[in-house]
Amino acid sequence: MSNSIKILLILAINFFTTHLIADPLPPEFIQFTPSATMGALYYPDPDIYPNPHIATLNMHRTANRLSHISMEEMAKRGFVILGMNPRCQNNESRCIPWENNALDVKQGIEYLRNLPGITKIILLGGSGGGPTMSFYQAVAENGKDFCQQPDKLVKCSDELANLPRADGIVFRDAHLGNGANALRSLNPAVLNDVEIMNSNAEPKLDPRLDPFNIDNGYNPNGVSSYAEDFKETYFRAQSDRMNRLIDIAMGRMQQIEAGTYKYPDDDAFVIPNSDGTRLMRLDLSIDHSTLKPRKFLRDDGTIEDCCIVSSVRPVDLKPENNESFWSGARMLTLRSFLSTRAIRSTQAMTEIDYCSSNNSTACNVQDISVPVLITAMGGHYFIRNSEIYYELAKSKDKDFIVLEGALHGITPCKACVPGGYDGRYDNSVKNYYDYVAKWINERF
Amino acid sequence: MVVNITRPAFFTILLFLVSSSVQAAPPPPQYIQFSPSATKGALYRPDPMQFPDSHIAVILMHRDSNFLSHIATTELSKRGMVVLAMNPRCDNNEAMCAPWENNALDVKQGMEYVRKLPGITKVVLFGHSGGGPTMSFYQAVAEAGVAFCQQPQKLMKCSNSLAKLPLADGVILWDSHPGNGVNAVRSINPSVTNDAQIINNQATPKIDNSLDPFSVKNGYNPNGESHYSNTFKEKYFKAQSARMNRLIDIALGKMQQIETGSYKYPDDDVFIVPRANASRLFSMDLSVENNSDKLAKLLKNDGSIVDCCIVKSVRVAGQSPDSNKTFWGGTMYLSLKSFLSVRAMRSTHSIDGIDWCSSNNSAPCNLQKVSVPLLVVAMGGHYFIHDGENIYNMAASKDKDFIVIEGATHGGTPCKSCMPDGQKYDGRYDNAVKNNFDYLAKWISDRY
Repeated sequence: MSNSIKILLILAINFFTTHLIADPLPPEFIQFTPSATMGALYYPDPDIYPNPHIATLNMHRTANRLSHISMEEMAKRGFVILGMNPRCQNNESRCIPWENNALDVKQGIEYLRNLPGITKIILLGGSGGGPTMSFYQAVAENGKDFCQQPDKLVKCSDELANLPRADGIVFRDAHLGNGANALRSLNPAVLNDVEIMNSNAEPKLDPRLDPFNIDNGYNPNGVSSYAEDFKETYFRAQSDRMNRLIDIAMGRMQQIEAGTYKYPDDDAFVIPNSDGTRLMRLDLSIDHSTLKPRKFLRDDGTIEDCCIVSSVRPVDLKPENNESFWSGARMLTLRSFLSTRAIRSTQAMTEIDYCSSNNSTACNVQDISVPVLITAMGGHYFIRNSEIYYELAKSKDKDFIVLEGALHGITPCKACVPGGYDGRYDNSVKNYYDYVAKWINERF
Repeated sequence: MVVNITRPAFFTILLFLVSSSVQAAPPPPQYIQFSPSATKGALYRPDPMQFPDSHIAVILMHRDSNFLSHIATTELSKRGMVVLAMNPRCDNNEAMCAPWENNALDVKQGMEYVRKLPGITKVVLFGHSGGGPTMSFYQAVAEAGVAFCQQPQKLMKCSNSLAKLPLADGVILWDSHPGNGVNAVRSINPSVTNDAQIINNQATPKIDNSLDPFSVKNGYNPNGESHYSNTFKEKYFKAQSARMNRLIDIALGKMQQIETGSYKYPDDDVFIVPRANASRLFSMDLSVENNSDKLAKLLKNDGSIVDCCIVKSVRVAGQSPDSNKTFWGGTMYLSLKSFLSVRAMRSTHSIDGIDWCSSNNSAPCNLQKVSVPLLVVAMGGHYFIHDGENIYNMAASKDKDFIVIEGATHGGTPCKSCMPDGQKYDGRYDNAVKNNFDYLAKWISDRY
């Protein structure tokens, strides 16, 4: 082959791979600072969407969002999307404090604002991204005083002043906050947290509060049914345990500030039996549905708006989860615990002091004015959570919808069909992103 | 098929294609997702106008640091190589290296990915710092089989999932250390006497003042280079090994209880070691580990190579005692499994009495099983020169090379603080990056 033909072929391959065959364009890796903060930028197909003007930004507290399902689904629908991982990605103990993740969102917004043609930016907060994005926008709209209020367990730093605002937020099965999740996941049967924290004592359990005790209503073969008295005692005991843990951590932080602690900066804070005991995952009478009639996006694409919406989820907890180190214990530090996994309450379900933590969707949405879309997944257990912060949200333009039969990650919940999955939720992903795209396009 | 293109048509097509291609040169790094979710990659391709037929891919990975924008990504792709930078499953979280051996499954995915890229015929592994044990371990298991990492003396045995790893064609160790366990034993403060009480009951560390590296009586100088007596150094290095061995015994004891079902957890536990870091004596005393033992090649800032002399680091001594006392700077916050897998190494003397093959995380042990060409590069403004020489000496590869880059920091950039007597930096190491990667590119292209 002659050299000239070879050159033409090489250039042609390069042209076609970058301009025509690349449908959609490959994601571009973007480095932010510090080193752990990173992003992947996805563009829609330029042949179909030559002039995108809306960018979306997706970030979680710790999970990898660089290849999240929303990347391709949003790009397919004409949006630029930046998936980001924050400084404490893959390591919750490094959220010291979690509030600084807002500095990573800030970098993402500044990056997107500088892209040619972008005029609007929408934050996507899925799961733990809900508190992340609502916190960011609340501080952006109200200033750093919002996150330095006296009642916050951790106050943000002055670095969070003058954050650039986003234009809207889409919450995807976001929860009330990581502290609220931690509170509801605690095993309240543990009696001796002080000894555990101070001298590595083995946990002592009160069998009357053990969620895996058959005498208390546990059913190892299916749905458990706890008595109302037990549930009330359990939820109050969860709050008691969380408050004890907060007091221990706060006491140590005071010693650090006074220079009397063994370390001058932080310490490990390892909590055994602190996950895998969320009662609503064992007993479907708890937080299983909306309280009021809500919009329901059915698998055939229609929207009902007539009725209370219930989850189709099955129960899914085993005692082994709570007993193991990696799935039942939390490996944090004083600072990351207080910042990420702590919240004040007197009853884990109904009496949470939402504004005691910055990591609180339910508190933050009360100070956000931009349009918000709140979506909950019909095959998971955050439907009621979402309804709570929908009701609390200050935005005049707000919407709430539940997606039929979807898992927390939007895909069809195949385990939600007793007797075997029959394809009844196969359209969950398409329906979801079509709805989100329509909501965004109607406003921006 | 014969294609006839007229001259005007040729130039019209050429102009169109060149104008479109030039704008895209070099292509931006492409994000690549591997499995599990924490395993990530960024693919850097050279400018296709300059390097239309790249056939060599280089894979970078560390133990837990982000390498997706490592300096080698752009420097090697500028020189015609395809570079896949990767972060492993314990990205940003050493405690999740449980065990670290499984990071080899991430290297494997990278190998399989680049082998499938059009035109790639050779793959070179690049191990910087903690990437050295990572890449040498991968290649040793790929060449010697899974039995290598399941030998009885290993503190952590690998799983059978590491069988049949695809082979790489060469390995570059770039200011690699011998292993994270070796680093740990040399960094540990040996003056702590009550580890069992600390680990079991969260006791406050008790310090033996005669082993305190920050005691002026022992030779510490808070205002500059420290000078410890040979007697103190010898005692210190043996005490470091003794403390590490105590910690290993505690961790192994707990693991045995887990295996028999008598431990409080069925799977793992936290393993917190205070005063475990920032007590590396050679950070304070330049008489320790500051030069090669034998004559070694030195790549000077002017691009010339001298091969006449013992090579000495130009680094500056200094270590504040504060870091060792902090939680985040001085404490190991690991689990039993990640400690035994990543930060544990048997020894009787932390400098010259290391049982290299007690851990899989050990470049000197691993390279005894590696036969492909090996390049060992050490940075002349850091403290791994002797480590690099030792790694080189123990390597089995017949085709091996060792060179020190004058005045380079651990990250390869010019060491601006490496100036004698507090002088201002005068640009004397400004070519460190260029020289380094020119040498690497030549070494690679000479072989592949």
